[in-house]
Amino acid sequence: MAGEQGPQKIGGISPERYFLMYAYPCIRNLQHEHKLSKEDAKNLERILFENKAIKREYLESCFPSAFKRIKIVAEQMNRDYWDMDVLRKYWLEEHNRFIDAGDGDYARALASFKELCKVHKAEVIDKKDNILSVKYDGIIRKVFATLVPDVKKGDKVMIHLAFAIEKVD
Amino acid sequence: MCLAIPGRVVKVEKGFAIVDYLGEERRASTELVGVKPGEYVLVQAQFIIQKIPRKEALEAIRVWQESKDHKK
Repeated sequence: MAGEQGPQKIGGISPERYFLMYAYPCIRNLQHEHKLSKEDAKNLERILFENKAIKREYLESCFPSAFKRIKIVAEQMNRDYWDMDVLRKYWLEEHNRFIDAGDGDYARALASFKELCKVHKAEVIDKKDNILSVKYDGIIRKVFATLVPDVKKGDKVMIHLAFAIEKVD
Repeated sequence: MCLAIPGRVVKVEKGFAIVDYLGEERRASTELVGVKPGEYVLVQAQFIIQKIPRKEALEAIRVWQESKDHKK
């Protein structure tokens, strides 16, 4: 997409867009906690759904806690923190570890809430309009298909809070 | 983290519920999770996303109130 930085694109997704897809479910939470302005929350949603150009500095200013953690992961991997492998490692593995370790605000969070904040790989067992029933570890949850409108029953998706984020193998 | 605080369902209407957060009432959609009055829930982006056991909810509310009082 024009204006986006960085040469790496995997499956047509830029690192900026990949980050924002996973961070998307947190937007309303951050707004609710007054960590993100209403204007920024609306702007981020528009950027994501209207395929607008995304500035790295803007994402970093909106999600400082996430980037603090991503930089730690990048350092461990000895890579740039916008490297796609670093972002994948963060969202698919390390993010849950930071939650389990009670990093930052998670220290005071409820067990049920932490579970919802974790990223899980789940199987779509039913689809009704924009709502998917998904299953992982024997748990069945319902999430929105907003970001993955084309998924079908039997597909595997990554889920975060009330949303399915992307289809995976 | 006010979103991590469970709310108690006080009333259920078609498609949504009125959820009480220590005296502050908010509307939340029941599109993802159906609920009954008296149940404790977690809400995200105006949608109820999970019911939680009463014991865990009360404990969370107690901890949250303590940390809030502590800040004053």
